Amino acid sequence: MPLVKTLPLDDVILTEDESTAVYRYDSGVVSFADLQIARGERGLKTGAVTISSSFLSPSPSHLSLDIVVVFVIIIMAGSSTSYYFVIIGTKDNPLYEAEFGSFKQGGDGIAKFREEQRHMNQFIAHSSLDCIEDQQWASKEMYLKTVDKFNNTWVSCFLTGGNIKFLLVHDTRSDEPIRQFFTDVYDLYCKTLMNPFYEVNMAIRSQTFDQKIKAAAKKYL
Amino acid sequence: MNRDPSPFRTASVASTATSPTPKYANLTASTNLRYSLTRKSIYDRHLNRTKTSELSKSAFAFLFGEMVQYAQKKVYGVQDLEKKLNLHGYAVGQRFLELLLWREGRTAKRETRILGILQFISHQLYRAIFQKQADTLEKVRENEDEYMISDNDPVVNTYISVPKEMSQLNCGAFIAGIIEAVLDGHCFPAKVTAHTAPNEMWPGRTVFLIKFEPEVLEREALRVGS
Amino acid sequence: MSSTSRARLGEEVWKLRTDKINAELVTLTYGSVVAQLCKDLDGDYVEVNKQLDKMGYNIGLRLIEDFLAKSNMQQKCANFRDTADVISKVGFKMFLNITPTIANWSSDNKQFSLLFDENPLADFVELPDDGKAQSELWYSNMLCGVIRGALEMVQMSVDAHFVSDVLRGNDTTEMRINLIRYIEDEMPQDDE
Repeated sequence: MPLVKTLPLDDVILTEDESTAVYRYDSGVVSFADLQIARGERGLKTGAVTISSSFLSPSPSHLSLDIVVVFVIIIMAGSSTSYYFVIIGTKDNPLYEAEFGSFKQGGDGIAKFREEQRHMNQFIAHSSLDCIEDQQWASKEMYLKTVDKFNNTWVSCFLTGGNIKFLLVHDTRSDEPIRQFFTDVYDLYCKTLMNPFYEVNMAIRSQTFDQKIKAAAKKYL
Repeated sequence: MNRDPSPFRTASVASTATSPTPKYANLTASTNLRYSLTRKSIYDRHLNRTKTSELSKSAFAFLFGEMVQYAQKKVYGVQDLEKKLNLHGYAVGQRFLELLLWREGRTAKRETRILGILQFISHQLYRAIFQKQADTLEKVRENEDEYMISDNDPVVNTYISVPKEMSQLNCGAFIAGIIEAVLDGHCFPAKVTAHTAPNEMWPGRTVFLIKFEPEVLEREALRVGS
Repeated sequence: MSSTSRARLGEEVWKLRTDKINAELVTLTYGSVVAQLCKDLDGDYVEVNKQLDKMGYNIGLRLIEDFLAKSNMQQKCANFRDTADVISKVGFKMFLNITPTIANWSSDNKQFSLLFDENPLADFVELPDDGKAQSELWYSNMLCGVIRGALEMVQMSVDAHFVSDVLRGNDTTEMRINLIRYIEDEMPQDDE
């Protein structure tokens, strides 16, 4: 029996450069932790509903859908190349994250919405994990290329032998440079792991690691 | 609900009442570590530098023996001791798994079938760590979820003198831990135990019994024919 | 026996009389031991050092027999300087395939240093970034115990300890060994 949840659209917020609009659900932005709990509890895929530009005229007063949580994101054309990178452990736990490209150099509007953007990226990355689980058994490759697509955003994935996932959320497709980036990341991850004081699933906080990842991003992305 | 003609308006960001998701809060990089001028960080060292390096077997034997001695003081009984050895092997196995796959470079593949991962373990992994292949790889006929890998002369049994109180100790638990880590890491969760199975030629022959979790078999069944 | 012939002996023992094993297996096993100790002792690195030394000592007591058997050294060392040479060129060579440099002799020839420009035990290692490890933990401390135990079995009472370690941000890894005294009494024969 499909779950129905009605969502009053309290608030619409638009970034200054009009590249992103976020519908708030209830009283605040749904946090990433909430999404995870919901996902786990119901065993359902969290989904994001996209509304195309037709939403401009007359916006629905509420949405009825049979998914548990709705976090509506519209990304419009014109956003410059930017990347969100996250390393996810075997328990779907993030170990390391970084942003490259023009995210940081965005205009004032974007900077103001850092939290939402970040939540969005985290959400996109996290919800692609289900797709990865399906795809990883159909292929023997470690570089799974793009595993999920969300509007103009892709998620690329590299899966290590120990089931650690390197996820890159990006808005321009470039398979080979991303593969080279992931190869460098794998080298850095292995070096981290070979240290007896580092355990699988621990967060990676080394500054040197961070610098090297960013250097790799600069080199290939 | 009525909407304004222009439904959009910019607004200042609400203070993050929903603070950054807890799991992400502690990911900022930082360091207090001093690095030697002469020795660069671990990230500057090439992963292949010690690929073919060797040490004496007795160095390993002495280290292993002392590891057993130390663990023995903290446990009650052989099973507990074997668990500790398994844990040490597990840590080693996790690292070798990633290291070996990294070393295969672009041709590296992830195994998706039970037989594939078992062959990886008994051939590539065993060869890389012990400079020889495992001696046999078999399926246990009676049980769907069990397989066996055997080693006629496991290196952990060389020179090791088992403390008298622990005469039933199987040092192979260490290797079982290595195998278990590789299976778990590669998404084939299993329990691996070591059993002495001597024959005429090989008194130290050890069999590693691999018992897969049910989900592995379910998945394998779905994949049959694909 | 000259220094060069000792070096040759070390090479020979390593090449011909030593069964070998993957170095990374040893490195990772040692790493697992140290990491486990740090957990068991709740990050009390001073205790970890002691424990590593003790474990090394136990190893040293047994290792000396293996050493004597394989190296087939007929003569006792004439003096402590010879001992140092043997430790470096034969001992370390046949077990760890390294030959640490001997340096910094004291004027009375009772103290010297071993400088390790290679240390297989510490490959890939980075000490925990907790503000304590780098000033308190001697990661390779087991080696000190090994030397102490081994030399005790050949009638020498020594103290061995690290004074610097690249893992701690120092430029060198240096172990200081000093001869406390020669043990006059006969050691009881080993039962084994």
